[in-house]
Amino acid sequence: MLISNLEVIPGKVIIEHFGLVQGSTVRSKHVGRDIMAGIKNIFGGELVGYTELLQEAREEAVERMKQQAQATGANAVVNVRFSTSSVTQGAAELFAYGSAVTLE
Amino acid sequence: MKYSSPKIPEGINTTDENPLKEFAILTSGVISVVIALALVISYSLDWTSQFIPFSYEESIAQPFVDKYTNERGEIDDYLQELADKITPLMSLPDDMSIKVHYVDEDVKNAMATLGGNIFIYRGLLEKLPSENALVMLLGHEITHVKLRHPLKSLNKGMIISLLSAFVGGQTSSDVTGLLSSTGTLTLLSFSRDQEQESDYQATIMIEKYYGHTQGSIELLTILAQQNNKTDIGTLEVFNSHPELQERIKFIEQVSKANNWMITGETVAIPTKISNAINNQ
Amino acid sequence: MEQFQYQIIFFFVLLILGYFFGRYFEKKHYKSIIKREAKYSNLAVIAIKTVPLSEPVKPSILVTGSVVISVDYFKRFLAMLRTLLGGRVTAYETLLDRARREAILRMKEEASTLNADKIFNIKIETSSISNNASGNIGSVEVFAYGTALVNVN
Repeated sequence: MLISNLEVIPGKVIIEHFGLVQGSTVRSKHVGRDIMAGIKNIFGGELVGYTELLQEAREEAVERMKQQAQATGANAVVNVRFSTSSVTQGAAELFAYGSAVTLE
Repeated sequence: MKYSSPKIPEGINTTDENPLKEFAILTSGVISVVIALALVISYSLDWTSQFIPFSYEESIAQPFVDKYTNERGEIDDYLQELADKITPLMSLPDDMSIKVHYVDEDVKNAMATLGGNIFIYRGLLEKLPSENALVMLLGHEITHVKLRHPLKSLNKGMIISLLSAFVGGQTSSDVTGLLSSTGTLTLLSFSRDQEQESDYQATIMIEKYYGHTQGSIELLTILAQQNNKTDIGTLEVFNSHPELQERIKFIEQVSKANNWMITGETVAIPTKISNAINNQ
Repeated sequence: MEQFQYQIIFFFVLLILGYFFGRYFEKKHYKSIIKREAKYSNLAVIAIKTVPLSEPVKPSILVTGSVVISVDYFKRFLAMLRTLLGGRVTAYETLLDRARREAILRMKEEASTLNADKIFNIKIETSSISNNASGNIGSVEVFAYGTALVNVN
């Protein structure tokens, strides 16, 4: 399934729209990562633990969006947008949404 | 443009797990981790306390004791004399010395703190029926000193509250409450063991001193009477001392096992002293 | 130590209240959402900015829908425990799903009262509402907006 944040895919034509599809997941860190982050706060640098955590969560959100698109019978999702928000202390919601279409 | 909207099935963006099951798993997980940590920390701290010299305790405690107590009077001297008579029977380590202080307040309690300092309050002292009960009380507190209980409790309390602040600082107050209460409950079980050990060694001493264990039962009965008014059906788990009935039963069992006499003649507290206590 | 016991009892009462009422409201809400989604299924919601050239020219207007939903005590406590151990916070997934679908439905309702049957360039914003200083967040606001093409009769 094609996932893109372009609206008009070069060389393809949209023949049918299926509307909005969305995928979201809420992930939280655990105490261990938190303590490492606290230590890193003193020294500075990339928080690898958190980066990995959020990447995994984003992949899962995109996966869920694809599942919804497949259920509608589309073969691509275009104009994909991402949004991250914190819903509770220590947990973040990763949200991906786009328009499910059939491309040709 | 062609548009159709087939119904998207439920359950893609949500998980269907039973929340009660998740609650049970998470709560039991967290509680068992906390209890395990608390136990490990408590045992290792208890083990390290033998490396802290008694003289450190004394120097820490001295400024507070000086501030807290008044000039010594005849009651202080009487209590100190009595303690000095008992101490040789209790195999105290050479570097420990016991200092008894009398506090003229209505508190129905006695306590042992760092550096071998023992505080006896008027509220409890005036209720004691005989010197035997007083000897039992002193023996109990001296055992606390001998086994370094004040130091151990202090260590454990500090470390556990530090840890729960550290871990729980980032989460909500409810979870911090859960963590610190689990830690506290684990500590209380250590406290109950300490109290029982103190009862035990004091009983051995009182038998040597008088030839029978009457004083121990007397003391615990007085304490039971005092506490009847305050314990409104608290569960055993929440108490820092074992239930008084349990303590009395324990002493009786120990006495029977060693074939000691449970009753005997009691010695009264010198009239001069009891007058001084009641006049103040 | 007696107050300690009463604290624990109080805590459990809150948990039980949160669990039963929370589940009841959530079920009721989901039923209403599914019913309304079926009603508005002909109203096209498309996340694309450019209106296809094949579309007839119609007046356009911004339509919005928003909702703030709060989570019950039981779920909040579960989420807090989860932040200690890590992993997916399933308690909040339903919260956000409900809030998003409700916001989109309200946007569709507004479009339908304006007699529109297509909404383009839909965007969704999520923000969390803090309810005390320690950052203990229990409610979420979702805001959905797009441009509707109005049918002129």
